[in-house]
Amino acid sequence: MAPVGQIFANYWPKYSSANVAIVLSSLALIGIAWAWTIDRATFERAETVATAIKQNENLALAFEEHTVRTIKGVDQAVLFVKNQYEEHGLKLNIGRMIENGVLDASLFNFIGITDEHGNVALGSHEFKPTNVADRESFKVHRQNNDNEMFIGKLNLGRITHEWAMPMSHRINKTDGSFVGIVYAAVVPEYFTGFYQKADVGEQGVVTLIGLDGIVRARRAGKKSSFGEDRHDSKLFAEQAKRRNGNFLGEGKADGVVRFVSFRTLTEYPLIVVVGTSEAETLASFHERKRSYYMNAGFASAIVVIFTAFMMAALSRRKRTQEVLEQSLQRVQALSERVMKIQQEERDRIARELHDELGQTLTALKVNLQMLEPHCAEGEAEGHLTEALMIAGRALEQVRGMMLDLRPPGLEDLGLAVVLEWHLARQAEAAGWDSQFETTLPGRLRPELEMACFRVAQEALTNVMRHAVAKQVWVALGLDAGEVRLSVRDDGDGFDVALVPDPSPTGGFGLIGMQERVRQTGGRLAIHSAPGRGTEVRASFPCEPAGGREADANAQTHA
Amino acid sequence: MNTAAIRVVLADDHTLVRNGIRALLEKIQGVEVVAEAADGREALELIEAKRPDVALMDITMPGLNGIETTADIKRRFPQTRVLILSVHSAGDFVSQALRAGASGYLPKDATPMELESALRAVVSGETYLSPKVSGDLVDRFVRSAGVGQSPLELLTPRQREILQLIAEGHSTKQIASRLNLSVKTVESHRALLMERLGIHDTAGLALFAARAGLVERDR
Repeated sequence: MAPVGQIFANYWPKYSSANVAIVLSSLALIGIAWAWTIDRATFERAETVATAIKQNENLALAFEEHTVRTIKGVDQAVLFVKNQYEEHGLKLNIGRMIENGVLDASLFNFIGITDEHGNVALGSHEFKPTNVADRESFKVHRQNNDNEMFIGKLNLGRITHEWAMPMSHRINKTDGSFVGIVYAAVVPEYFTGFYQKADVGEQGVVTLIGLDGIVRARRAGKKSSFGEDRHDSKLFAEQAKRRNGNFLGEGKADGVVRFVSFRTLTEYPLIVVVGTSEAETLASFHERKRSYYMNAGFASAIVVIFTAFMMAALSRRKRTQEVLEQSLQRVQALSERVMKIQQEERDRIARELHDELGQTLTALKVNLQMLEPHCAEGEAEGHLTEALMIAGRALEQVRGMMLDLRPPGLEDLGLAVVLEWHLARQAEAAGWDSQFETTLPGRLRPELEMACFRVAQEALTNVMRHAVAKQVWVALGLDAGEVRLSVRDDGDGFDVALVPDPSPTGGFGLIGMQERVRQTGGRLAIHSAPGRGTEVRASFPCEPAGGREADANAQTHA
Repeated sequence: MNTAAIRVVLADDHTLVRNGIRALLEKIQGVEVVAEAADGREALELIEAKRPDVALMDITMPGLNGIETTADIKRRFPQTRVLILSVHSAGDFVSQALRAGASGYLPKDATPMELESALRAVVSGETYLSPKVSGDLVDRFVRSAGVGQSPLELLTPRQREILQLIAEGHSTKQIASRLNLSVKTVESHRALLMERLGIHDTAGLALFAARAGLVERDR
């Protein structure tokens, strides 16, 4: 990430808009990936939980049926023994009934009958004299004369010495008075044995609990227990609201969080409870979730790396562009410098021509002219006239060179006047018909006048060199804040596309014109076709020069 | 008008030219060169000392140039007339010189005759512009400036003769045989006179000759 950080630091301020776009789209991609992942995980968790709860409910239902069937089975056995006892009295042999298969003993470990004082009178096993008058079941039946079965709390059998749940009925005489109870001691494991058949996981729990809050049978994992008082647990808070339901709760004994389903039995004061550990239920989901998150993380990393690459590439491109722009600027600066040097050199040569050669020739001519009165006849006249001619021509040539190098009067008289004069001079030399038009209202900035003049001069030079023209039109005008120059001829013309740029002869002229126009921020266009003449059009953006020149012009006109 | 000599101060930074002009001036009757200056400042000092009638002034001089010197002269010594002598024969500097207060404008290669005409014109208060500089361009800027003498006086008698013959329609060959000159000499004369008059074609010459009364217009 270090190079990415560096790239940020170096290029963020310069190219922020492009980088902002890249970073935002990357963040959007990462956001979408994570939103999908989290949504998926949430959905799968809800589905897993719903499935687990459904399964718990089904188990609770099955556990309820199992419990009811077991209790009914025990109840039938107890009622059968009661009937037999009422019929046969103390002659009844319960042990034999079991041996004969009349009585199914698989549901309990002891079944017995007491007298009205609580002394055990008959039993499925042999026993020493035992009194159970202090037991809850006995007390309940002695008090309540009804035909209901009573399911007591677990207690340690005085005969069997095993923990068991007593289920009992009251026995009456024919007159309805109490003569004792018949009871069966049911082993709690019988109920929770159901657990072995149902898969509720390592930390699952199956509980049978009375409405009195006392656990009748509980199995958590491999551990069985009973007798605990749970009347203040979350189960009873939930059960108070509805008979059957589900909740997520923490086991009081072991601290395991479980999805719990409970059902309250309709015929007996009992609740069946099935719980599965949340951790176990969600284990596979958590595994899947981890893989989803890893995928999302991987995708995010790829996006980040891709973003870094893109930004690095972008910054490289920007750098290349900068380098290009810099070299372009250098080239332009160089060409400006070349033109400036050229102008300076021209000025210098023009000065030398004027100061030295021009003056010398002038002196020569003056001296020659002084000879005129003395050489009015004969051979001397011919030679003097010829010498004067030659001196005059030389002076004209120097003057012409000077004018080409440094257009005189441009500063004093302005572009329009000097250009018209230059056109006239060229037209005379080349034998053109020339037309000059101007709608320039006043003077322009000196650099602009110079640039415009030079472009026109170059264009006219090109006409002279290449065009074979009869007519030449030059027009100057001001339009929409631009100075417009047009130099047109009726000469040969050429195919604009075929002129190689830096052609050694005329091409440099085109480049020179283009460069001058570019330096003033203007445009240059060349229209031509073979046989149709040529037009050079240049436009320069301008603001007219101040009032001084305009006033001076007005004065001169007056 | 042979009362007093015209006193002249000559200012030009080129000794060769200055010597030539001085020699030329000395040949003219009634003209006296009272001092020579190599630049504008020197010229001003000399003018202050000598109070000449005319200052013959070059334009391009080191230090103070001719135009600025002219303006100074007109401000400080208004009685001294300034006649500009310049290699710039075109109209470029003419308007500036006249605006600065110059009374006349001559090319440096002016003939002795033209120089004399110019001197006399400015001394008598007129403005003198050489035909060479009073072409179209100058016309536009200096309409009011008059030309004192007839341009015909700028020509030598031989040149006047040839001009007339040209205007009458004679060819160069005919003129040469009539005047017993070589064709080349006639051609040279013709070119010189055209230059001196500031006229560049035969039609213009014919028109000029008719106006000057050398030939009758109807012909």
